[in-house]
Amino acid sequence: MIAQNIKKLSDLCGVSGNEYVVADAVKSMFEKYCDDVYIDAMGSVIGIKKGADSSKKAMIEAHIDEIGLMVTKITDDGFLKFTNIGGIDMRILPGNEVTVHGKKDLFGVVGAIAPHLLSAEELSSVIPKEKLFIDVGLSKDEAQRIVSVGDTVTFKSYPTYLGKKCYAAKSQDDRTSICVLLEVLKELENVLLPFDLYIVGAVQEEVGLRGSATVTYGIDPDFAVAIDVCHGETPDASDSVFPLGGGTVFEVGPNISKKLAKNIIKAMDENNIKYSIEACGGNTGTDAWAMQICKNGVPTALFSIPLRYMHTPYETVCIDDVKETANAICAFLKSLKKAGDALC
Amino acid sequence: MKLLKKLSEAYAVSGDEGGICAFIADEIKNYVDEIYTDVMGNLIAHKKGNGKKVMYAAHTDEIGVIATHIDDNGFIRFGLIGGVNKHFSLFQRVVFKNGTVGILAYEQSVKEIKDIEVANMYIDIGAKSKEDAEKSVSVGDTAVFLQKFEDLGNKVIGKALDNRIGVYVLIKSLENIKNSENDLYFVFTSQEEVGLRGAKTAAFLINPDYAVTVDVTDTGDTPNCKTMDITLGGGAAVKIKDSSFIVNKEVKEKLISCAEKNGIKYQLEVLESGGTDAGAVQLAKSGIKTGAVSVPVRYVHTPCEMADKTDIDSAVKLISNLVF
Amino acid sequence: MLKFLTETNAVSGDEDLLSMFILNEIKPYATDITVDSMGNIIAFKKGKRDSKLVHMAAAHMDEVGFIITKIEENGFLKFEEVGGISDQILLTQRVEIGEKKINGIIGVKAVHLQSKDERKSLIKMKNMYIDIGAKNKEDAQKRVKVGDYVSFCSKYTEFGSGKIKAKALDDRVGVYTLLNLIKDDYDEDIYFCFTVQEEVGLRGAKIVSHRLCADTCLVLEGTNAADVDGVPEYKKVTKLGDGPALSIMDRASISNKKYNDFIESVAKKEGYKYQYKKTVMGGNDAGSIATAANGCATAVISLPTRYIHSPISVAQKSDIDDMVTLAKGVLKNLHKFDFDTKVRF
Repeated sequence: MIAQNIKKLSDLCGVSGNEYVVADAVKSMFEKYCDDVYIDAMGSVIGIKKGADSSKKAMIEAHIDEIGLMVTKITDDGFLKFTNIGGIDMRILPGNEVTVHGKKDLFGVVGAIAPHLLSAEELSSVIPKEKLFIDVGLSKDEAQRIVSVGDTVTFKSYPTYLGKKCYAAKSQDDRTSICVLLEVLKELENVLLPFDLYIVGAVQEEVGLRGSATVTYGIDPDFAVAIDVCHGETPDASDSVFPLGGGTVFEVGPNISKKLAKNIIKAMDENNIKYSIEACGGNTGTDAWAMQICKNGVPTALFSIPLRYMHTPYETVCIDDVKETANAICAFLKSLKKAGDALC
Repeated sequence: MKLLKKLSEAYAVSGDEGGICAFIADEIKNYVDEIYTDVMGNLIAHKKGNGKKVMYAAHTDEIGVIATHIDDNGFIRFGLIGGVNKHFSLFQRVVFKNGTVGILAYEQSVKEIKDIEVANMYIDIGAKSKEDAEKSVSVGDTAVFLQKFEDLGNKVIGKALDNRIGVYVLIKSLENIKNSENDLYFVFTSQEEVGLRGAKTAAFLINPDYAVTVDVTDTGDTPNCKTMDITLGGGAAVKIKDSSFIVNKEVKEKLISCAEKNGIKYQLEVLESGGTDAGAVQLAKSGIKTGAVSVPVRYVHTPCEMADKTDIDSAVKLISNLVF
Repeated sequence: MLKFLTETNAVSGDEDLLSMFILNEIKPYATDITVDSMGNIIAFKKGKRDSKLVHMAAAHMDEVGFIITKIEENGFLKFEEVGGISDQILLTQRVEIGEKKINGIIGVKAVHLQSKDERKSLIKMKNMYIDIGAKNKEDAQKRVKVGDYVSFCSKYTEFGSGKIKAKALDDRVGVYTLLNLIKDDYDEDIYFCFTVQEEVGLRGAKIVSHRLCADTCLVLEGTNAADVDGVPEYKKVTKLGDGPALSIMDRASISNKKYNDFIESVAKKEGYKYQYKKTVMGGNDAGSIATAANGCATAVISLPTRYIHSPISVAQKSDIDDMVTLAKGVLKNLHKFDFDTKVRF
């Protein structure tokens, strides 16, 4: 099921602030397992799986938005100028394919002037952001009929498996964590938890942890677990990276409730979950950071799935790590006789 | 434009918006049912209605400087309030709340203007000595740019058009709206320039169904400027995004259909950097469906901001005709 | 007392030890005590009369420090900062790690082994390591684990003319002040709040102030004193010995004008010493509190402290006494002041 979901979800396009298509798909995927599913004012998807005691609430969360581009201008020659939505290394763009989400989807490429026409100095330096443009092969008039300023643009990738277990595709950050949510829901399908479980697909994480803040305020859970991605190990990085296939990664530090951490780690140890610990001295840069200080405060924990090439068209994760993250969360939730056990 | 002239020339640095709030209250009190200020310095005007609760917001505050030290010779060291560009402010005149005028100058020890830090700058109010200076200025006193409002016919120039234009748009819209189906809150927010602070608490207090903020935005129509598809005279701008905010789809469509139905000239705005009250409003409580209307202004955050009267009128028409 | 407070370790996110001590201290004086999910302590003290307003006084418990991120094969520990610490002051500092207070030193290779370029440049935190004398990774793991918090190790020392040196004066001096204040009686109801995680983004105060929906809040802090060698007069933001400092504005908040005027009036009437902080830089819990819920009138009283966020912070003892006196004067007179900021037109 992970393999199907991961493909289905990462194929969808939903740049921060324009997650509507993803939200609708996620809503129907949640509906299979939830008693109620709704979309809030900001556009986040919230599913409720009723438990024995509805006065207690737990929340597990991942974000549904992805990084992308936004059209800022259509030039007189019909090329599209753009800006980034969320953190993108603009150096990866030249030579890449994109989809422009206008009145209908348009294929486009990020053009780069051929080397023959550039000076030696230009060739050996990074193309400045202002010089980049998208070519949709249309004249200005033709383009204007389909594209407006403010339309979003996503990477067009051709998803593939690298070996048997590693899947490379766009927007695995953080659709792969939505797969975790679905996997948890499936595992717990016939389990009556001692509290209501809120499953959240939040919007606008990539532009400032926005959707999770309003969702958490609305739900006001007794505790919350966020799922996001962390950096996978590559030959050129050694600090704060984790090997693909090495299991899930659990965060510790000021962002994480110590009591929640203690109980989750205990549940992981008792169930032989493969995990690593990552320590972060402050802002984890994930929705967990916003969720922790909503309303009167929410004890929060964070799982991460190692991912290589973050914020590129080929974000790569290992299916086993996705499964192991779901196993960890299920093990923890099943270990709770009552909601209060999570924080004792 | 008399009203805009008064608003532009008013003094209301972030954190000291009391004066302009009293002025605005006087202008609008006949059009609303209730009007008051809150602890943050927001002015909240309520025009009762039975329909959806809608909040309109425009910030009243402007950028400025604050005196931090007065030396023995009467020169005043200062800090910045909001996004003042230190280079643009060189040798500009500033005026303190009590009318004391000074010049922003810099130490001659600085060789290249690009190397200037605020710490190397000072305000010269022409004082003979510390005692003399302290007769008119105390540490903690604030000042704003001193600039006369100019009406050029089609265009206007002035300081603090960011965001007295927004204030003007809301006042004029209130005059136009006779009976609204909506339960209307017009909020003149404080401390936007130092971090969208007033709007945050006002939105929390009011918790509306919908919100629309009115502010100014940059343009992309000056020689060799950065790419931005906004022109002076191109109409009111419907904001798609800035660094604090992405528009809610429902509100965006509402704004665009209102403009098209009423023949109001509009353009779509993508602002790459800079934030606005809309960013704080949308995150209040469990989220608020929020949109933003901007009036294009060249040279934002300088003492010489320029706007087009027709854009201001378009914004007034847009807000006046909007119903949720 | 201040010796004990500063020598207790409480890095942001790891305030439990200090919290337990504080809870014990305030129990006899508080009407009601709540510890919230993040660890903030909210101690309510009933006043002599019914108050219409919700008053709050706050100081943060946490201090800057480090967290262990990795244990190397050879037993050395990699770490990152918790809160803002300069790379310049770290080399060869004594530190304590985790609940068991494992001793360590922030290591650096001897200057003899450094190249000419290395000697001239600032060594970055990510290239430093903590030495706990472990033989190898396995040996180190017996004593520390990834995620353990690390504090500076610095003895409270009195020296010079009425000065003290300690770590974490920011903000144990605020905690010290609150502990003194809560022992007294007041006309108004007051919430005495000891907050967590100020140093990583004013986070604890945010949820406390949201919970209380306070109308007023007095924040007690440690702030920079720059009355040291090489600093021109206008950059001496506060001075040791000139009394506690009031803030006009900083990057996180603008103090409520009415509240500041009120503090000044109390100080002038009683002849209490104070100075104004002459900068708009910095930020503290007031930033979170002022904009919580419907907004809150905040003011800040801070202790001038040299070398803040280092193990050798220096303060003047008389300033600490003056800070307690001034803050107490303010709370004692709260009932006399009209904080109503709602003006109707």
